[in-house]
Amino acid sequence: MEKDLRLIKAREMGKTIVATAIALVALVVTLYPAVWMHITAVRTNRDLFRQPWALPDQIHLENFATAFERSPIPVYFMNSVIVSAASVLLILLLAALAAYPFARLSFRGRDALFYMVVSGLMIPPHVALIPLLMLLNKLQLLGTRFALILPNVAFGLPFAVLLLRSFFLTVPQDLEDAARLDGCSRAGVFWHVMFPLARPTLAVVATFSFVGTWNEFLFALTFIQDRALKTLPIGLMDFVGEVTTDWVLISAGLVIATFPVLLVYILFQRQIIRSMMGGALRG
Amino acid sequence: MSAFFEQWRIRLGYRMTIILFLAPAIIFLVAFLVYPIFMTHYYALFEWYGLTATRTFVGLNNFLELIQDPIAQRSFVNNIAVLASAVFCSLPLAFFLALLLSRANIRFKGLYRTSYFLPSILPIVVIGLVWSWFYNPQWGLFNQLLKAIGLKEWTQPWLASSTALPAVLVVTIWQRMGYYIVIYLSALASIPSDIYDALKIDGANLWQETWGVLIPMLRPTITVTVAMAIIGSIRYFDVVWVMTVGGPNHATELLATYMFKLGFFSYRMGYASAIAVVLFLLALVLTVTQIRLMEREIVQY
Repeated sequence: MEKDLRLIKAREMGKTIVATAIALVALVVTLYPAVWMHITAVRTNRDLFRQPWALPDQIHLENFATAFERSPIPVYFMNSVIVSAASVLLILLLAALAAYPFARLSFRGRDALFYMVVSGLMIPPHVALIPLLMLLNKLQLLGTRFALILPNVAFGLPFAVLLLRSFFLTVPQDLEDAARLDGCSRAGVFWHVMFPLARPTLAVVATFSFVGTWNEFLFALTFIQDRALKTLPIGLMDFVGEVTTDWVLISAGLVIATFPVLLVYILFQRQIIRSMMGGALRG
Repeated sequence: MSAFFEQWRIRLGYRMTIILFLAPAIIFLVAFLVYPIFMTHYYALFEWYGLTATRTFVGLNNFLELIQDPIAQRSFVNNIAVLASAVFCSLPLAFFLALLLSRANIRFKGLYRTSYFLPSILPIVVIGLVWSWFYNPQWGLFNQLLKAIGLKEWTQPWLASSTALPAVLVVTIWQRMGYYIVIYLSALASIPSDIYDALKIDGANLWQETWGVLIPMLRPTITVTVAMAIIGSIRYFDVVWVMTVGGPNHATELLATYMFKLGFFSYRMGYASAIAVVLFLLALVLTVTQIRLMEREIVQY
């Protein structure tokens, strides 16, 4: 009897070890590229070419300073900050405004309009690319930051509206009625009751929109030719073309470009993962 | 009489409120999403080079040319390959790892989940460049590894030969797996715990458990992820653009990369728009199919 128990325990133990081993292999495979990039960013080129896949002899944090001083990366970084910040703020405001009537007010054609907005989720941005170029050209916005911000907002809105509407649907009607009795207008209810209540969902929307716009590639590739206005993704591509062999410097640039999304991910990962689920299943 | 006006005022006010709330978002969507989609269909009917040149109406000629264009056919096949790699590699791998994380007795599960999801948030440039270096013929990770274990004859210029497409597909599988892991994990977590308890008492093995109980229970989630993987595959662009720009000799060309090249390298805006229309129609058909499938699932359960 006791022997059996020990056998079962040993078998359980064996299972745990095998499972942990598999999970660890997958962990190494998913993390390795990012880890390797960080390691490469702090070594010397000489060291890199001698033993690219080993650990460096010495850590050279000054590579980041070099990347900032000897490259246009600070310019690209600032452009990314401006474009992302403006896009995220606009998405938050417009999506919250639109989600409120979709969730809490009744009017003719409400659901049809809502589904039309949400169907924007399925549109590949390539479909709109050439007409967007023509439109931005006509509006004389081509080669300005608006050429990135405006399409970013339009393509970011459907998901944000979807998420915020499902949050507003959960707010108890009593809260709204109480505010109305206190003499609040609809706009007042929205601004003083709904918007503050939605703060956690707004944080999630902000996180998603930020990661999306910070990494945005296609519009940046198409609508911006001026070096002084390029964002990090395309700026880094140019940079790679210019200093093809200086992989250490390029890696330092990549680390700098990754840092903000990494930071946001580490801070908000719980909310991101939780809401991704909700959105994916309901959507 | 005044009561009548008062009621009108309230109703008008209510209308105005709704319009004011919705207008900003709707204006953005119409100007930068709906209008461009319509214009793509319109442009697709013209032979038209560049931004300023005149347009010649050619009807459906662009579409007729598209059907016979070997590069477009190649791109379409490659898109199918991206799709297949997502459905038959990313999703099963993700399901397996999610199952492992949720059912096995592993410590620090949150850490694994966080790490698996990381590729989903990395900038595409980072993913593309780092993987290109892994594939570097002289001193890339893969060739170095092969040399180290004595398989020097297997070394390849991975991205510059017939291995380019599989090499890129590996990256797409790697990039998208974590997203689906998170989805499967929370679907598994939503299964009531007494079902797991019952499974334990019945003494079913993991294989029976998975195929007999968990997969049937998770069918709605699996349907959604398959649909997401398929729809995601038709718009695939960035990673391929950074790693190979569709080369060598169109070996990794996708509909989206081909469309971009036609429009902005060859300035064949009308023809490029025809491909954009195809992308749109594919997305539309697949999304409608997805919704239909989901409705059927909901009826079933």
